Amino acid sequence: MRGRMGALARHALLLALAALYLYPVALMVVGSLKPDALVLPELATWRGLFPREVSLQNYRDVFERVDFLRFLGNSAWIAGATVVLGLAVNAPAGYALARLRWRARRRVLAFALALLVIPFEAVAVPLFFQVSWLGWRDTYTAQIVPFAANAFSIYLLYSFFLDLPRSLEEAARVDGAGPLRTFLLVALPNARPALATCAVLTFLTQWGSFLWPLMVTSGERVRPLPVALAAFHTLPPLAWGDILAFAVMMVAPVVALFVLFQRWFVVGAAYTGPRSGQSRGAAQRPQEGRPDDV
Amino acid sequence: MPATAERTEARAAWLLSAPALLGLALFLALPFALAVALSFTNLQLGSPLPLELVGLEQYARVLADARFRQALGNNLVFAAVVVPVQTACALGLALLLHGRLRGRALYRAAFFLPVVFPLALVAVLWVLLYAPGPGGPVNRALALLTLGHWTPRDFLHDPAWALPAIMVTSIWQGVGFQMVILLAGLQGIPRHLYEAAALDGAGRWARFRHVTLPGLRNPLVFTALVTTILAFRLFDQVRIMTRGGPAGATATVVHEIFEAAYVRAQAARASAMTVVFFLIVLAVTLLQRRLAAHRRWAG
Amino acid sequence: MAELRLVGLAKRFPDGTEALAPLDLEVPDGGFCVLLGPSGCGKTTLLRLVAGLETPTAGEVWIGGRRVDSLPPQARDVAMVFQDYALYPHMRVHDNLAFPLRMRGVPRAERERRVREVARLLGIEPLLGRLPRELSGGQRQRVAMGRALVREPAVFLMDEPLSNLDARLRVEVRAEIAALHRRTGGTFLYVTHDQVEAMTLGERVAVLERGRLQQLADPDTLYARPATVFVAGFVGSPGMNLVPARVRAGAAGPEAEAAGAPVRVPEGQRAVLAAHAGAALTLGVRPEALRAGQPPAEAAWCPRGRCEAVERLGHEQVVWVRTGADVRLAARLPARERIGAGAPLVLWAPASALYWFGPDGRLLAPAADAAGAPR
Repeated sequence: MRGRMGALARHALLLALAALYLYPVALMVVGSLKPDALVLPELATWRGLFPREVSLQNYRDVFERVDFLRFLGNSAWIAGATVVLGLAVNAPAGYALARLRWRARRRVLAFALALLVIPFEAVAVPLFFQVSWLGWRDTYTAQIVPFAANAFSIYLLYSFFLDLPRSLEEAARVDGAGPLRTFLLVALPNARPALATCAVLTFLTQWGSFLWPLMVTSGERVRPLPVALAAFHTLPPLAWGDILAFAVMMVAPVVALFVLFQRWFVVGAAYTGPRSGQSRGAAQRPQEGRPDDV
Repeated sequence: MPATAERTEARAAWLLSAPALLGLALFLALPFALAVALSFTNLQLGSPLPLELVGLEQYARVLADARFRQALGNNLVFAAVVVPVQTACALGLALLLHGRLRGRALYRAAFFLPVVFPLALVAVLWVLLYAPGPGGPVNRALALLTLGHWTPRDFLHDPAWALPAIMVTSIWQGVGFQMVILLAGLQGIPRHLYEAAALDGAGRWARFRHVTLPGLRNPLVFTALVTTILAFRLFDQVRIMTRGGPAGATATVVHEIFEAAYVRAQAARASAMTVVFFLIVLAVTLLQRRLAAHRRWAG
Repeated sequence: MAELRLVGLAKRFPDGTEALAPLDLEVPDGGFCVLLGPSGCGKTTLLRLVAGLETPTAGEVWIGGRRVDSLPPQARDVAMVFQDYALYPHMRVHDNLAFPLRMRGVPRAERERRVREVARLLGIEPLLGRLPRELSGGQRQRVAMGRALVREPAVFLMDEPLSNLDARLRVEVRAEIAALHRRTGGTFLYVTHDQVEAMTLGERVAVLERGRLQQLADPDTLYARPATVFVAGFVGSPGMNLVPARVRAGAAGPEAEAAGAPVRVPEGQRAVLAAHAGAALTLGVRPEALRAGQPPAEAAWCPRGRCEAVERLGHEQVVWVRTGADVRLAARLPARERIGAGAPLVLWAPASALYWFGPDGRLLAPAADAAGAPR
């Protein structure tokens, strides 16, 4: 009996917290469907959540006032290309560091791990000069290429490849595959969880990126959604319905991805968690007591 | 011994890692080195002065700069409040979600949702929530809680309230991330430890104190320090919600770097700030390594 | 198919441990050689050196007259069955079997034909469309063997392929491997720690201990004339009783004593023992050569002790006896002799069953029983 009541109390508490927690999100969605003039006045009333009437007028307004599809396309292209390019360069590097025997392996690994501590903000300014010097301002390139190689992705994939059974790749070698085909045909197809995690993390970072595009984009041509939202938010006349409609359309893709691939989002968060807290990568992990490099 | 096999493998290794290494070198290592180098010069874009080495002068100026010091102080206050509060909230949520619970995935998704939101969007949304006047949701909620004793205010333009307002926004956005990691940590604590503690006569609190908390040590250290680093990287919310104002009340280090480099074109000054910023993050990271390593000695 | 020749092959790991002391080994074309030894003896390292998965510190590997020790695995024309099978988890059985052919550019039609053929040979045709995780342990093992067989390589390498199977299946597959070897006529190098596997499968068995080759011989010789105390103790179930013995020069030839009982040195071994008078030797007696009860006249050694434990195996029993000199002996006795634990017991061995090992552990004199056995 007590357990039953306890469970009910827990659900009641959780539901209340979740409702409070998601209240801003609900306001955003509902506000985007209400007539502009009513958004602010009714905001904190119950009409804020249960409007008298709903319409898609605000959404139409967004499309009329700014080139939303361009921003959406820019963001999708930047995030998508970074994900693909990122996997293409980071997965091979993680594999080479985890599995292949080469003299510089330890030093290269130490280099990549050392770079893990440099946050992007610590290089934003000089990178901006670099990119300007390359003539990459106001380009997609400036927003994609510098973010393809990623020390954290390399580390994550490296850890994953270390845990993959070594005999799989050895079987491939004996079966006649060289190091490259072993990687492509055997190691890579079995690394899908790590690849998915990297893809999700990269996508989220790029989709939400603000500081960098704020620095390297000046016009609307290659401007991504976050910067466009910030600009739209201060674009007169102030119309909260339109702003919220813009916001809803901006998160819809990530929320859809989140619902579809929730597992990888959460795994991604957990993966970035306790493991990276330890200097596991630097430690040598011999398999079956056998040192793994010669 | 000439080992063809080893040579093939070494060649493959270089081939596979070259693109990533090149990327890291060009877009992370090089700019970082550039930041360090520039911080010792007097480079100011568009200035007629010749470029020269000025030693530590930029650092002296940065550290004497009242605005930068205010920004640094804001970051410290921000970290000092957000880290414990957010960690406590995340731990509470994780404990609520731990154990037998129907619909856990749904609850977890609800609290995790804002983590996937772009920070720019979160900032804009909270500008609306902090709307001045009695009609603003936050003002309204506080009025209800204080039974009408609350005087509505314009949070984001109030020097006393702007920073706390941004803190709340950041906690709302980030707590789900910590919660997920702590929940995973909770689920990693072996059940039999609780059973053994219960058999030894430990009550609820004793079990929490002696089984749960030690078991969560690494995730807690990790999440607390990641949040600390994020606190020092604070920029998006500030840029959108207050632009560092009013009167620098919400200026942050990264915001100052941005202003110096981008608005005032003080390349060298911004570089010096960047290096100071990096050293802070490095210190926090090393502290985390130290604390995480500590456990290996203990256990 | 080809012969395998190892010349002075050695491996030292970077941390200094010697995994394999320089070793010579030859497996003739179509031969079946088993590497036998306890875990950590270097047998798997040896196999991996042949496969090219490890680089030797010294020595040469020759396959069919071609020196391959500097070639990568894919260029060596060997196939390997791994202990954990190492089936590619993302490929169906069919694709697992076809993979080695694909890697070697075998045309599709030929590939299909050979995959079918191997699947039929191993009775796994119905499984071709499944993923490895949908197979039982025995089925996985078969697929792993199929993947090695499909290519008709110069040498087959097998790394404890039966160790993950349950006891009954192990006997079954063991017989199958022997049949496959006969049918394919391939050259096999097979690693195991199980002496029964080694004795039943191997034409030649190489016994390794701590990276050193102890003996290379056919199973009968291994049993009848173990070259060292290690081989004597490792082969047999239980292994040979090895008892410290003292030898003195007596009036009528060498006199010996072991486990507190005098040993009457047989005629044929006197000369050898006389040469080692005063040395600490080891007396060896197989458990199956020991008898219990009142010693007859021909008994050469009669240790006495107390029965410590009895393992009844149905048709026979293994009786563990602790002698007065604190030596533990095993005796395999007929099941009908009822012996209770704790009972005093006299064992005896005939003169023809005594082995002598020198202070260095090498065989000095085999038992007369073994004299007829091939060397």
